[in-house]
Amino acid sequence: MTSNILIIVPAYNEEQAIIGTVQQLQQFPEYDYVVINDGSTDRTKEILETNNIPHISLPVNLGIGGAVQTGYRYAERGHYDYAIQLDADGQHNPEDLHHLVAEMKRRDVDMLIGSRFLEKSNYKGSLTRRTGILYFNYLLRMISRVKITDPTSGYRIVNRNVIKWFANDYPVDYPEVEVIAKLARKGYKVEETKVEMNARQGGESSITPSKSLYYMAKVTFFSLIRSYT
Amino acid sequence: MDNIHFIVLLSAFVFLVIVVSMTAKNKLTDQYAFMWLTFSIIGVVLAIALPYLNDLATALGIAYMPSLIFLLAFLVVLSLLIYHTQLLSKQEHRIKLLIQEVAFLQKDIQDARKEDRNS
Repeated sequence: MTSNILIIVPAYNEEQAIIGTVQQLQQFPEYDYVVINDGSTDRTKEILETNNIPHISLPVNLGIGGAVQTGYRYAERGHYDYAIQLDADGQHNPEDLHHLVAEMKRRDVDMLIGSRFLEKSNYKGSLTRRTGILYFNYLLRMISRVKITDPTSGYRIVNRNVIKWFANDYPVDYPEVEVIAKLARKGYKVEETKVEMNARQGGESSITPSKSLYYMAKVTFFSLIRSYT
Repeated sequence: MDNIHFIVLLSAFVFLVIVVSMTAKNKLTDQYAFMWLTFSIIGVVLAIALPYLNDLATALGIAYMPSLIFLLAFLVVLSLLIYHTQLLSKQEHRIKLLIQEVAFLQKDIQDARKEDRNS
């Protein structure tokens, strides 16, 4: 461990994008990073091994929640002060890392989310995606009284308290919105800062339109039940 | 004893025998074996008491006795299902922890090997 900041890169079948993402991360030697290979069935594991990329390979697929939680547990074991989640598919721009870390320290919040929508940015998502985001935005305002313009963004930095929490308790699937609701309800400070996002470099979104209804219903249900208990 | 009473009694006994033999062969672990043993004994007792169940149903205001049986059976099956889903969730959580631990150990081993090679 050379840094007190760990970048967690969950990767499931990302053979096309993983090298590019890691090469960009290597431009920032001041941060440690670890790729969580979530039981990929393509060449992701092989690529990670042959290129000597720091990684943890889950023997079976746990899904996004279990993979990300592995990263948080690793961060807790390594006594990192901050952990940053960054997608392997190239959507999240490592150029924003400095900005995320600086803002996190300046504002002294518990979780800082990189938002595409805080100011006008180049991001253009599908209509389903944007409708979902608007809905979650409304849901979070109702449940937790926080204004989050980009609740499904997986580009986020958390402090040590939240690392500890996530290491013990992290939702199995569709975790992004649910954890904001929970953290905010329990009095943790959750804020946003502007980032740029790219179109994905390869791979497929985990959210297909047919799954989005289930996604919205599930998140609503759990955010309500688990935030108030 | 009429035919139906005989069939019910026989089924209850067969079920009890199956549960006992599965327990004896260690096919059911202790807590489940005990649970099913309890259920099968209740089944046998109810089968013996079948003629008296009519009186019980009448006393409860249920005109058709089998409705009472079905209602009770349905409630028991429903609670069993929830109990099993709860156990399944617990197992899933434990398996997840194990998978994560295995992955951590693999990483530790790989890191140690790398250090060996470098030294």
